[in-house]
Amino acid sequence: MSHEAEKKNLFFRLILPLILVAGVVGLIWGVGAYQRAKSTERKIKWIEHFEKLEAAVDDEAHGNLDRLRKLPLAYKERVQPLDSVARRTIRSLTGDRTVYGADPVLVFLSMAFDGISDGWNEIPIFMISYGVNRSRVGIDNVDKLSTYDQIKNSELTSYVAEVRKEFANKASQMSMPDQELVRAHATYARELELGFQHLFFIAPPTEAQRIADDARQADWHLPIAEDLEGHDPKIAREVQTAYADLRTAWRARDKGGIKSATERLLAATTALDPAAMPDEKRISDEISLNLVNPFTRASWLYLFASIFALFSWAFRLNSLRWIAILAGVIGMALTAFGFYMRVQLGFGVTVTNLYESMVAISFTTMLICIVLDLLRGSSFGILVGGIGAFVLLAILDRYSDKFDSAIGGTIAVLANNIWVHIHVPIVMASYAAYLIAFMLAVIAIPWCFRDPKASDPDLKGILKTAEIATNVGTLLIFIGMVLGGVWAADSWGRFWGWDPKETWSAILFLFYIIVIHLRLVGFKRTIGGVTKSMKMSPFWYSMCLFTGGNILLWTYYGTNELLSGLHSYANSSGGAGFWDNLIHDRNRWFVWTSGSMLVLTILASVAYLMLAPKAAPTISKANAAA
Amino acid sequence: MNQPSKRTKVKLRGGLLAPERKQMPTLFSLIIAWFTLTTAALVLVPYAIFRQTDSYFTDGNNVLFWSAICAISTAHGAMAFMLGYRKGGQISNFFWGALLMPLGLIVVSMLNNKRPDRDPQPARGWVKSLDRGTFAFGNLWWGIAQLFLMFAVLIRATVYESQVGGGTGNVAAYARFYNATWFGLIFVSFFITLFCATMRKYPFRISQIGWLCTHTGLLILVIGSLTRYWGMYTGFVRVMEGETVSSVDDRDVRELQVGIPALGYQKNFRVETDHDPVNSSEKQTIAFEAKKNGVSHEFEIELDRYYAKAAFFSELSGLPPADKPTAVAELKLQGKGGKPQIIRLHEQRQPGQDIMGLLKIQLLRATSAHHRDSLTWSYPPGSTQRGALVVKKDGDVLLRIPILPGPRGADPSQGARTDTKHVLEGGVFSIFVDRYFSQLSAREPGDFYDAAPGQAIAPGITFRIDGPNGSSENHSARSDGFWFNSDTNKPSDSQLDFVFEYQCRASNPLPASTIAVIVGPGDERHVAISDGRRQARLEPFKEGATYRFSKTSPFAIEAVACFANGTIREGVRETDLDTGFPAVRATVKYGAKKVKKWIPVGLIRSMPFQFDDTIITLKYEPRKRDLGFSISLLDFREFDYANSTKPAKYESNVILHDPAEQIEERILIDMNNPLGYKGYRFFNSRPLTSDRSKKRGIGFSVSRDPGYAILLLGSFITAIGLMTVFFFKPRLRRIESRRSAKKKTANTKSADQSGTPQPA
Repeated sequence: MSHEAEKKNLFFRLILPLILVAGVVGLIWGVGAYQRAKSTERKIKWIEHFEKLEAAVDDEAHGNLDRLRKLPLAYKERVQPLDSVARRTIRSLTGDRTVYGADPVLVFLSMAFDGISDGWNEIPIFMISYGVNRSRVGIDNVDKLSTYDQIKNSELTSYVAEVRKEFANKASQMSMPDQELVRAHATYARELELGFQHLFFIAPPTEAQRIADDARQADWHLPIAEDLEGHDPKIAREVQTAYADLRTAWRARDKGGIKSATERLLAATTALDPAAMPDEKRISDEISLNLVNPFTRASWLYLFASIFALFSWAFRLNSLRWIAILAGVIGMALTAFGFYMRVQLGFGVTVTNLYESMVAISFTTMLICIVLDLLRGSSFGILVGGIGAFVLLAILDRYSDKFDSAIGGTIAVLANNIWVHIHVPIVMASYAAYLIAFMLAVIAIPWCFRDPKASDPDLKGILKTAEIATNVGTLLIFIGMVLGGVWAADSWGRFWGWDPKETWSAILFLFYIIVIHLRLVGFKRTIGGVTKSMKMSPFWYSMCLFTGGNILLWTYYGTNELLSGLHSYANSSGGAGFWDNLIHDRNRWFVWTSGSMLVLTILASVAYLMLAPKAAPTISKANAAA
Repeated sequence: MNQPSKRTKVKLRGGLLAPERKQMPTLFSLIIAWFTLTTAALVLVPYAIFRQTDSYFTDGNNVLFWSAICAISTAHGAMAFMLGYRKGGQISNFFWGALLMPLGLIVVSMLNNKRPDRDPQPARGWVKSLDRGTFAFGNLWWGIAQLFLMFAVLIRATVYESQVGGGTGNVAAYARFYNATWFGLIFVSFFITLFCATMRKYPFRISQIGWLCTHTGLLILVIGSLTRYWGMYTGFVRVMEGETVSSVDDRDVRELQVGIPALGYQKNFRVETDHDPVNSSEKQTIAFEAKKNGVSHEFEIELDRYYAKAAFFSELSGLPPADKPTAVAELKLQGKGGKPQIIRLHEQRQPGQDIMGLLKIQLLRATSAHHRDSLTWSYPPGSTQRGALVVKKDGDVLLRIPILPGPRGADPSQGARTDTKHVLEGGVFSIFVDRYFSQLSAREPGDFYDAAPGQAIAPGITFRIDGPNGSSENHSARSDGFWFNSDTNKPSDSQLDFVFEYQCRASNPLPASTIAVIVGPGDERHVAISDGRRQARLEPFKEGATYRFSKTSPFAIEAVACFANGTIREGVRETDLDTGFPAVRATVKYGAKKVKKWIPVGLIRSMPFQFDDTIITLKYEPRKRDLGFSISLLDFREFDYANSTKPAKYESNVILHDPAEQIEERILIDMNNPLGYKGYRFFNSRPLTSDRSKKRGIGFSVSRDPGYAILLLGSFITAIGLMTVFFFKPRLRRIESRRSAKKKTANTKSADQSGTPQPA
């Protein structure tokens, strides 16, 4: 290859992917930065507030927060450390992983013990995420967090009462914004009025209660006298006094008092029923899982892998490729570790909700692209796969209020079922394969403008990899659909029921089948084609894969949010109509993304038809016969 | 209680291979037909096409080979049929039959010997057109066009489903798309295309194995889906603990149960207008004859409207003033706690209502102001009242004759007897009050009698007027305003224009705890509240006003509406509430008369349609299907997730009882472990609780899917094919080229030996 050509292609190999990577990272970072910037002024005051508070209740000598973190509480179907409860509560209240940079445990305890009266009514911490809803109840904040006073003085209660009245007999038809407000109201009514003390289900049930209840864990109790009936009265009293002492010490900011009260409380609750207390190792495991946050860490590793792969490809540096693969493998190992821990701590089901399914997709994306790269000796697989996996995990991290990451129970039919372990990962893997094909197409499309016949070996390689990824995806989604059918026949009594999710899987499958046939038939063919099996023009093939990405987005997200169905992580939108859901705030990003992809498809096609060098003469029948 | 094992020893048989006894011959014949047709299609058609061309079948051995396969397939099908039919459809027998096929293949392959090739001949006539047709239908672009059509249709269908939304979206999408004929036709046409595309590839090469597998698998998938479409059954059955069921309700198919008790007629008709919740105006006409004593009666039922979600409604509406007005009123009763109760009263149909014996609500009409006043007086039955016979002219009272009922305890009818002479209008009239009735009742004027206690309407008198000219007229008057008390009524035969009125301050009693809406005279409206004292409170009727018996009374009655002339419109209308139920509107024609009514699903009693000489009853119910075996629910349990009320799983203990097979087995049905028997599968679907008996139960959803096995087979073959075509094609190509190279060298060698050139 000439020096000139090498230089030209460097643009496509290096600059363009770099722009892509930078664009993706920049977009994610930029959105976060914009949101942060909006509330900076209000923030600084409260950051200081929490720093002061932390200094007042804890220091290294006492280690109060770390001790309190380990207190086991029962919350939402599971006994878990206070750390998890605090994180989940703060996330559902604020929509963010931490609030004002403070330790969630600190915020949680402060809300519980200091109560609303002590300045809490002025801290903006309660989220109403949509501007529409904020203006509807008369809160005029720029950012989504409001204070207790604001909510109390707003028209939330009366508005929700009206909504409830209107939809008394048809809750399934409530619109999405209304649903959010009703949910919000339920939270505020409970959390605000009671503080967080009502979440302190700290005392295990009596042995008799535990045995009487068939379920895994009986109800745990609050440390109050009525709740503790049936226990040894002496110990029960000790639980109450220890708890009261803890509260008093916290209010007095007495570090030593907090320490001793915590120890007493733990000892007393353990004494109530030692058998009911969770394993100490489980508790510390869960806390370390919370602290390590393996999925987020893995996402950064994927990004590193992607960037290393990019440079290895651009400058033909094989050593960098191995580093990229290593980073990817470490990231996958972290994800696997996270999953393993979740399975250990939870009820043993792996992929049951949107959160877990997205983590699974990122994992399989990385797996498939590494395998592809190892097989084909290339590195652009990791380049795109890493970016894809990173984006998925970053979305999870940033919008953690929309994706419930808590380890919890699942709906009846999912429990103790082998199919959930087979059907879901296979379908997720097929999505991942299609995602890789889509991202390769993003790199290939501009390149095809310069090199419509894909004479560059790199472009050819990209297309070949994309082709393989498509094949993998098509095979996997077919198997996934069939196994899903077997599962459905087992638990719903029908193999296929035209549920929107099923139908859209079929639509996705049909689309790629069409693309495969177009590839075979030689749609807009170039001489000889790129590969033996692909007579189709590289540009149009890439365009097809790009459109496939859009359909994938619809199958994966659009079906859940816009269409109603049976699949458990679907239906978050309730039964509101298709257009209602489409134009709703919550799905704005989706509509914009999908719409702009469509527009881009059309623009690129038109541009190609006008700008690209005239297509090579097709093989005439006479020539073919000869 | 000892726990039954999770998987029981009942032979779980299902699908196509274990159909119901009566269906068995048909189904096995179908299997034979399928095998024969497939073989014929795969062998004979290509043979016909390629017979005269240069193809695989120019080799006589190949023809022999495939003909043998064809024959063996047929024999195999026949064998399977016979064994299956004779021995009650056991799977093992079917497989014994199926074993013959590969066996036959091996035998035929071994017998196969070589014969020289024939020269190819050009195709002619119908073979040629068939060839062209196959070729055209198997066109890849045509296939892609169909795939694209399906792609677009499916997108539209899912969007449509969500646009309809609510609970009916899926059903609507089924009606409009998935169960529509044209949708099936796409599949059929897809099947033909696939088939032709496969034929086009004939004779097959090694490298096409993957391709062939994929497309054959898809062909089988299409066959499976069609079998499924025609043979699928879904139903629902509710069982309470301790109960036994032997039939199932269809989930989608409902029927009209028609009964004519007088003619001894009973028949069920399938309702076809109720599959699409969006289209409510499909029509269906059911005509039938019922015969009795040699006389045939012709009936016609027209269903012209269907609501997937309907609700009853009943509302008042006013009518223009009429000669014989009918008053209607609507009140809202609010007891202590609970939901308010709407009470609608109709002067003729339901003038009064009794609320649990505590409270009476009535609608009365007053013909005059005096009548209205007298309505509000309480009048203990059996007591006697002082009154007066008033003679009026032009509204002026001319005369007032007191009527004393006599001493207490005496016969009241005797006490009133008076005989007085009066000068009126210059003549002397003798007015003789004949009888007094403390509780007078009458069918018509003059036909008075003393009513039995409880039937009393009002006190009254009968009297005679003897005129100066010797005329004599008998009359009667009732204190509630009937006969002679109104300003307009006059003695009919008399030349006199006097008006007689019997005024008595005792009248139609309003029992204690009664609220009466009194309409009249004219458009006046009042509410009378009787709390058991002598006189009821009379208040003007004001819409929106609340009336109570006393300040402490638990009942509050709100006046909603009242029309002096109006009607209560009742019926069924479409609703979007979750509580809506399906309903059809039926018009029954018999003779010259038509009756139109709404029939909702799940009525306890049938809906009667009244005709002059007969009654037709209609009931709109899910179609029942007899299972041939029965299931009794021993007990049902529900497990929740810890610390929550989210159900984790349901378990039902049932006894399966089949007298025909002499099976009686105890089985545990839980999530993901449904009961499968004779092709039916039972799933725990919804827990039930009965309010009355406090019993628990479970709703099972029942399904039967004969296409399931075919679908699985097709999917398996397709998946294998996809894998081969995507990942092993290069390898197959290499094998193929190696073989053809070998063959070539062999051919060249033989050509060299024989010395005759071979065509390229």
